[in-house]
Amino acid sequence: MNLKSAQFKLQARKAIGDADLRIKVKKATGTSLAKRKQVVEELADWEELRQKGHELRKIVVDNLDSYLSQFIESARRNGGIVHEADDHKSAKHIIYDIIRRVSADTVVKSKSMITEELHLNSMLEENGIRVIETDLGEYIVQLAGETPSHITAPALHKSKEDIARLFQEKLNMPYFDDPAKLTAAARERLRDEFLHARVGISGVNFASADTGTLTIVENEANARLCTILPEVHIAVMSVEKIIPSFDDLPLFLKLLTRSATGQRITSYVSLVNGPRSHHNPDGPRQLHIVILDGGRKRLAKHPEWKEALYCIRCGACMNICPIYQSIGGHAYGSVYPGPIGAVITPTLFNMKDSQDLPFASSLCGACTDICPVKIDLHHHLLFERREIVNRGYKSFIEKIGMAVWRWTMLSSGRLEFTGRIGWLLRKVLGKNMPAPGWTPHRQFPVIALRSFRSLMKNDTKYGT
Amino acid sequence: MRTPHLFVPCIVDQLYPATGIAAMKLLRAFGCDPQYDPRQTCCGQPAFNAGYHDDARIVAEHFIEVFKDADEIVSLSGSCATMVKVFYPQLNFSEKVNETVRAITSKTFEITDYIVNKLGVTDFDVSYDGRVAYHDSCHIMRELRITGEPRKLLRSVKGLELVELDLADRCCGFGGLFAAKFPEISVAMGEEKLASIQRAEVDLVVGCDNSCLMHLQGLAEKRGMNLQAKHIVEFLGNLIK
Amino acid sequence: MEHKLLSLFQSRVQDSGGWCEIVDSEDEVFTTLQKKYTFEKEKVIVSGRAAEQLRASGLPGVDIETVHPEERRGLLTNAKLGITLCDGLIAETGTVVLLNHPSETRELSLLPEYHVVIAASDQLYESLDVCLSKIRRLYADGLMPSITLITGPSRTADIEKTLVVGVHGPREFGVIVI
Ligand code: SF4
Repeated sequence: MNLKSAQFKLQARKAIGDADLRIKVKKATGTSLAKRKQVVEELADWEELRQKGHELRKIVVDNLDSYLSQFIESARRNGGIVHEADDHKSAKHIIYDIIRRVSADTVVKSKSMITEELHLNSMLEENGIRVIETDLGEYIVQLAGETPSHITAPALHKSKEDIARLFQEKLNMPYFDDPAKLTAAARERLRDEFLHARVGISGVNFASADTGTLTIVENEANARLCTILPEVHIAVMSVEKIIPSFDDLPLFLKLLTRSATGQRITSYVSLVNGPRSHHNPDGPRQLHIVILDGGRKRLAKHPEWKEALYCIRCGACMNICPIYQSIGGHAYGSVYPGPIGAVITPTLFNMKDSQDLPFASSLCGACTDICPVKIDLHHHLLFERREIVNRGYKSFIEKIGMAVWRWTMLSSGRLEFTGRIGWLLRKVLGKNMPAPGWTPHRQFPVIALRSFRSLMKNDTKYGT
Repeated sequence: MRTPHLFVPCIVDQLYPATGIAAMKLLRAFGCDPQYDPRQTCCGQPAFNAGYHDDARIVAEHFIEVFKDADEIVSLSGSCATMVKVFYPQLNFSEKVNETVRAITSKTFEITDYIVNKLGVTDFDVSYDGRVAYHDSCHIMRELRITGEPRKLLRSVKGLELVELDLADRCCGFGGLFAAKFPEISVAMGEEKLASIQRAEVDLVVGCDNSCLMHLQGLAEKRGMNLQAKHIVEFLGNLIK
Repeated sequence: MEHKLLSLFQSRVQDSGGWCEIVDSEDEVFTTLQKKYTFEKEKVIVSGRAAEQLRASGLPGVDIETVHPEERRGLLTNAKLGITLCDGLIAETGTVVLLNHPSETRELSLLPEYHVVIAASDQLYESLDVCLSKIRRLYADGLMPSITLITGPSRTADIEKTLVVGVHGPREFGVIVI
């Protein structure tokens, strides 16, 4: 897979130059963080819940194959049609096939990161199927011909004025930049689509192995409309969405919704236990569950990388990350931006193309502290940096530089000598001292006339 | 008498020797006989953070050789203490070296942690008239979980008004090599920190890592902002007569 | 204790943007609804099981069971108010729990502009854990119907994190606890 992450440096620099973007992202992430803080602090046992969540996610990932077959068995018992897809291509093919077989020409879709990962929409559209994103944020992004810039708030990079202009242009409406009016316009346009679409596609937040229950979390009711009204519901998930039991749902809902949007629970949580049965008054006649591997089973076997699969996609690590806050999501060039994106993009997709991502971090660790399932995110960035070096992706010059550094640091005399050359240069060049990457942004510090070690020679105790 | 071995990171040694001198003075004032071994160079963190674990390990072995017989190792940087305490165990040392590493890990302390928790100093007779903000560097705050100790020391200074920054737990954007690899992002983060410092209306910020302080000071100077960013040890040491 | 839980539930429903009235008996349901809404009876659709319970004290709208299945969706799309019962109330979050009951289509809580739930105080649970494990025990030897947890009206904050109520689902949500 080719990734836009290969141009990370360029994209990040461009994003930094966009002061407007920074203000929008800061405002949105700041609001989410403040709300999260409130509902997390009211729980005395938040730390224990995180720990429990971590342990349960670990159990699933460590025993992925057996949980997967248990889930599949339960889902089939409930009447679901389960499809396993090894890679992106076959997942897309399976989904297209289901749609084709019921000769539908339109599908309504609720939010799903896996379908973003698949680039499902463009494939379906190429095959003549209209795909309508119904989550408001996704709808906006789709109208703009863009991709989501945040995993739980897709249109976070857009202001209400941006959206007003977009609606004016694409929907032929008068310009109004009132969020309520814009929302009402989207509702009106999408209602009919829901009523007439014969296929609805949704993502899955959790899949309980013991009961086969699919849990879908949302606020707008668009996912309910997508999964209840059409004749066919296609639920798309990746293998690691599984949790051991139905009984674990309250825990994971708590961790997810409080971290994601700062809500005690979202407006709607749908626990789907199967298609319409003969005594049900509603619901789809067919429930298809498409389960994507896409490299995850490989990650699950890796002693370090598997931890990234614990992620429940709450997006909190993005909100808290000072890098994400500064550049937004698009610069990462991956479906998954922010800290978890920087961790999972290289290992799941293409390490060579995304090798800048693990380095684009000050390693402050704020992400690790906020993660509801305690993924050691910033340490994983370090593991991946090592892997990138070991694979030889780094430049020859950097390697030489590192060798010279090592050679210098193996002798205090050489360190002192280097320091004194620095002093001399600073003396001669003054404020024009060149230090790539440091100046011209910051003043170069004055280098002391005498180093600590040389001063210590005069110390009565150490004096020579 | 305690004989802590001073671990003076390369930046302190070459750029901020005054921090080292102040540390000697402080430790002596608190009744220690601090030791300094001039063979020491660097803990290996730059290579470790850059992903070059082999180079980091080789330099770390030099560190271990220098400090292996020390009773206590006192670091003048929270970040370098983190390297030793948290990241050394991740380097692939031979089994034999590993034993020494385990010992070194448990006897290495960040200096404010050492002063407050090992020496039991929480009150000493100095005074300062003015407002001071403490800067939490990320490694000391999130890896070592040291936040109260430096504040305790600052509060014990008579007349000093300790101000909390509204973005106290936000990274300043230094991040080692990150500062040079992604200068635009690093600077954007630093500017936010400076804004927070300005809002707090302080012109003196103290911290436990000269590297972050160097970044903030360098940024402030470039912008003509009146700010002094100083290592806490240097600040406290200068207060002692 | 029970009283405390009930008032917690009430305040959490309000927190989530809904309303919650506590009444003494079924007889008050009708008047409570009348106080809140002045819709014509044809615009109010009542689920089968809700109709059964309310019939004696006065049916506030059309019993959906009396409508031909083919016409139900059209009716609901144009309806102002959908009335359902529920299968549990969660105090901690202000949530109502609805099972996919044979005489209560989920479209009732989805398509009309407003949704009102008629509940009983003995349906109140402290937390979701207790309620879901009870439901699970109830269906221990058969297939569980789908379950919907509803907390407040449909909402979004996708535009500049500004809260807007009433997106694709009901724009108002209320609970009457008897
Ligand atoms: S890594 Fe953790 S914080 Fe980030 S999205 Fe996943 S669960 Fe949330």
